[in-house]
Amino acid sequence: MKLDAIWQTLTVIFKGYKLYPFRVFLVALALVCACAGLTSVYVLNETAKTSYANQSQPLLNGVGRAIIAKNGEQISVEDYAALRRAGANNLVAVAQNRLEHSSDQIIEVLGLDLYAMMSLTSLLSEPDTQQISQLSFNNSSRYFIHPDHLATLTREGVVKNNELIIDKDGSFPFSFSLTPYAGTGMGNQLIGDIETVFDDFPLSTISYLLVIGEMRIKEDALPEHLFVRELNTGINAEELTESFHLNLLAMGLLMFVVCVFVMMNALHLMMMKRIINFKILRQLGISRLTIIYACLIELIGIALIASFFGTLLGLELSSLLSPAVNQTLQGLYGVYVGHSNISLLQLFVNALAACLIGGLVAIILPLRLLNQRMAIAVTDSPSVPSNYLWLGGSLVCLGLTGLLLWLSDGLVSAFIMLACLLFAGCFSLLYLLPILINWVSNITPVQYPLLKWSNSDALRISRKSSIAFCAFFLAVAANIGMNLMVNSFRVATESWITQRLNAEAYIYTNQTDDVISWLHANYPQIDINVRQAEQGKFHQQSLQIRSYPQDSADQLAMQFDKASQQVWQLFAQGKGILISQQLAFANNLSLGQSIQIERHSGHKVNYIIAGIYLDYGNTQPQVLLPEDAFEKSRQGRKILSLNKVPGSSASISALVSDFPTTFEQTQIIITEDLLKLSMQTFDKTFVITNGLNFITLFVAGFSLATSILVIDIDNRPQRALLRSMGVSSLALFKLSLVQLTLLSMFIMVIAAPFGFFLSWLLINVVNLQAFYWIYPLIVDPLKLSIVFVMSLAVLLATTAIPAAINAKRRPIEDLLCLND
Amino acid sequence: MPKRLIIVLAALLLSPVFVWVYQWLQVDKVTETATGLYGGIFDDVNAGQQVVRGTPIILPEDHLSHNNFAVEWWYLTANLFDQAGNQYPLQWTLFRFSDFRPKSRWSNGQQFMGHGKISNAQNTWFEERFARGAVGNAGVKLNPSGQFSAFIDDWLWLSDTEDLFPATLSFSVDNLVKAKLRLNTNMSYVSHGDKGYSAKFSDDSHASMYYSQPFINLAGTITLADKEINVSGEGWFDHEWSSRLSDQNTLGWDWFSLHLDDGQKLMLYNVRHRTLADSWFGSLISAQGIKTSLTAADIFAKPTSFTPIEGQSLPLNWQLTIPDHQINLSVSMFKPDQMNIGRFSYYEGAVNIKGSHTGVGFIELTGY
Repeated sequence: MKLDAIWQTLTVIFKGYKLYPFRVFLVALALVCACAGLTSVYVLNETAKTSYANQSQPLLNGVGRAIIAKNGEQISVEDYAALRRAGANNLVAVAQNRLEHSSDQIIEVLGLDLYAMMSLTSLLSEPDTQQISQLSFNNSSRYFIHPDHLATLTREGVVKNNELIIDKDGSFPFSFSLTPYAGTGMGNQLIGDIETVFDDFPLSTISYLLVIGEMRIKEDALPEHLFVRELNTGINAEELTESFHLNLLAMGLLMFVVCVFVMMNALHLMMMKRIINFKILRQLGISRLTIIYACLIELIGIALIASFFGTLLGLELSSLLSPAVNQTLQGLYGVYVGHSNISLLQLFVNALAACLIGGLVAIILPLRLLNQRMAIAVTDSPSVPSNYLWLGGSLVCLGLTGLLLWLSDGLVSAFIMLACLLFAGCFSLLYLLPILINWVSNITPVQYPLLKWSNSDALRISRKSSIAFCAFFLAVAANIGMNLMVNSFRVATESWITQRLNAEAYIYTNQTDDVISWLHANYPQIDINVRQAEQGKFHQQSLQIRSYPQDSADQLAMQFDKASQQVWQLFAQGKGILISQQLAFANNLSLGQSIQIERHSGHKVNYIIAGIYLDYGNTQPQVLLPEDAFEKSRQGRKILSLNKVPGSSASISALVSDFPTTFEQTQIIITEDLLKLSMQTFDKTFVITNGLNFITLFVAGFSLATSILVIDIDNRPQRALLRSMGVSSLALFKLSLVQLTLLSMFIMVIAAPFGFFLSWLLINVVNLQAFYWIYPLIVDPLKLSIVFVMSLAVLLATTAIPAAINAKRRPIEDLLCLND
Repeated sequence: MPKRLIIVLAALLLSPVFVWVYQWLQVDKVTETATGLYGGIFDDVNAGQQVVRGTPIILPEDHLSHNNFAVEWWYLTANLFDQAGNQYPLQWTLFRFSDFRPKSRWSNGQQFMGHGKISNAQNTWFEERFARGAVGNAGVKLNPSGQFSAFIDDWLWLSDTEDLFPATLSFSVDNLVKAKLRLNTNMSYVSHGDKGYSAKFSDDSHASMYYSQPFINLAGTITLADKEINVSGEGWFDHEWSSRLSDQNTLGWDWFSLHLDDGQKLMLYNVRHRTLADSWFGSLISAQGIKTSLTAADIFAKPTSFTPIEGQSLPLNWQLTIPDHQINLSVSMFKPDQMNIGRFSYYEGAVNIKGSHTGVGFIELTGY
């Protein structure tokens, strides 16, 4: 093969770009989006996994434990010094504080004992060591902030010129000088030396002591008021968050697949445009293989450029998403994740590999068609597979879905099942769309010849652009599925939490006894219920054990999945136990079964399962026991529920405003605010999924719209004829919109049942496998309408402007094409 | 045009390199730290009380901390041997710096840095520790029983009395090697310079208060990989404080503490300066503890070879001659790998002596 022949072919290809820039742009855009989606998901997942593997904390790795104080106690500087002098010189004192900005942003400020960290240089990275020593020895009141977090806060107007101004306590403005630094494991906090933090926050105390590596003194050598707590790091964190990361990856892959479809469509359109030039090249003696090689080289070039921009876009996307992801991981699983430090080169190589694989997959079909067309003299439309083939494919995929549903026992097979369902949907679309268009065309009255022509023309479009239709279908189905799932979860959670939080206010505190004394002294007409908590074991696995009151209001507040008829009698007698849905599903437990749990004291107790209750959002298995099953003075008394004594004149809102601020780490919150806060947190959790979903829908919609427009260009002779017959350009524009609306409506109608089924599978299979909880599927017409309207809006918005430009063309310009 | 095609293909294939270059350009530039004498930490120590010629050293009070001075150290080096004659050089140092910060819960204006090092023929273990004076995990003071103690975390020099000796020193390096040693002496302390006022240059621009105990007998154990090794040998202790030890133009110093086989001890000090001539001075201490001050005119010293260590060319071997005292020594390193790599990197190495006398000792090289 001659290189100059390839070069000449490439020259022809490059020169053709100005004739069909839009199609080239579409290929590149699809690749950029595919890369961006995958890169952002990869960055988010890898960052988290690296964080877990390294047992990361801000500026530190290898932290698996922390020493904390028991309830109502504190870690003093003297405790810290004594522990270090006893040999635990691998401890780092941390003072944790929170700043409330006037924009309602809560900013966490961590003070680390940088001197202790300087003593552990063998465990720190060289850049971190340099920066820490600068910060510690220079004694400047500076704080490190991760550049991504700084960018976010700057964007939100919280930080200006690397200065954070806080109206602390509402009394005086307070400035924090921020130094951007992408240190090991740094997340969304401001990191300063503990001395600086104590100076800036006069009420600071040592919050905990991080243990770097192994404990260097025995746990029983700790002072009475301190104890060691294992952190959710390492393998533990990985296991806890596995399903979350798998979900994220699945979303990324879905986006990638949709983009591959979009690219396939764009490549197909591009190849069709080039066929005339390629035929001339063939007549000039260029072999088919040379042309195919040239096309592949072109694809590699586009992949290189697209993967570069896709990587940058993906990084940007991940830095936008990481605060939400980190917050979710911390809130849901109690694991700490910092910002990413993944090498751009590594990301680029990964993205390039994905682009090349995706590109090659996408180009196979267009190249095959191109090869066929170059081999034969007449360039008729490629043969369209029989409709029954699509029907067969759809039924096979549906059958596979059913089979997997029956056999499914893991998350991976659950995701394969989802893929089968979506493929079944695509095949159904290809089968049903021509039938539906034909039907509409047939029922269109002959009095409306233009409409009849438009509807018939839609069939031609659907055949030429089936891949783009599939991509759009996938996006719509995924959107419906995810939206319904999230909405069902939201409704279930809201109903559950509203019913469960039946007190008027709650207090979260570490100073339980002091708070109770204060309440008794100042608000005797407030009924206080102390929620007991301890950590036990079931089958050697960690288990949350909580107390639950038994009065009638609390009985009504409990939402059961299943419950025996004597549930409350059994519970009151201390024979019955209430277990969470998670514990039941994870261990195949059912009502009436007897289980043995190990209490915190090591004492083993047998109970009958009297009820299985809903406990959404809690990834840990949990059981509830009556209050008298707990020792009154145990340490796990941190939540107090407050109600007015019936008939009393006590005011909860007065109590909230009177509540002293001197109690440390204590928060009082009215139930209404707590509900609001919970639902806000819930919504934040799904921000990422919604974002990726919308991007996917937008790209697929954009692709479909542009594909239809590009095909429309081939329709110029017919348009010319219509214009010559006196059809106005406005009428043609309206026809384009009607045609597009019709097609998208059909797609959405076909996508809807698949979306429902997808949602059902997500709830009853994926959720069950991942989180061990399920909830009823709620089909909210409003939500569904929003997806439909949004999809249609994306399509119409993308199409309207170019269609309007086409329509404005003078008749002579359309007629000129007849000379070609 | 095949050439063009090749160029295009090459450009495509090289694109990862472009990405790497882009990435490299994006990397946050780490602020460079001073790399001069002790990383520049002594460059700005003129704040604080100044040493004054004629001020007597009063013991045991002066064993304790002089918080009004900018910098101070308690510096022990020891040439230890096991029963088979294998060398185990050891260093234990506690530095104190005044940062003159306002007092707070975490700061009393004092910072401490500890350096611990143990070597054998194969390995060198070095650890650097930092602490704030106000926390309570580092300090130099008399404990409630009136015993002298110098400590940082669990590193502890604990004397039997308010004097420095006899004492027990215990410390570990990186939790891998542990040392527990008894330190004894029956000799008096030696004040260098003019009764302890040690001028670093003839114009008194830089000076410190400086005394030593070069006659220390050490015995104890070094625990290495759970194996206890009995060791014994000679040690040298320095205590020095100042607020005017160097300036921005001070390049560093070469310091020698040598134990000669006839019982004499030799301390040599050379301060190198960017604008002033090298300043050599020292003390020759007889076996009976009588000190003779040495000036630049008495000392002829030159490196016999330079060795690249951690990117620096260091004079590890020296020829030292003090003609008036019939001393002509070839000083060579026990082994080259004795650099203290930490926040303030410098070379502190055990040496062997040949020539007119044999013996052992230590060299400290800073600012290279």
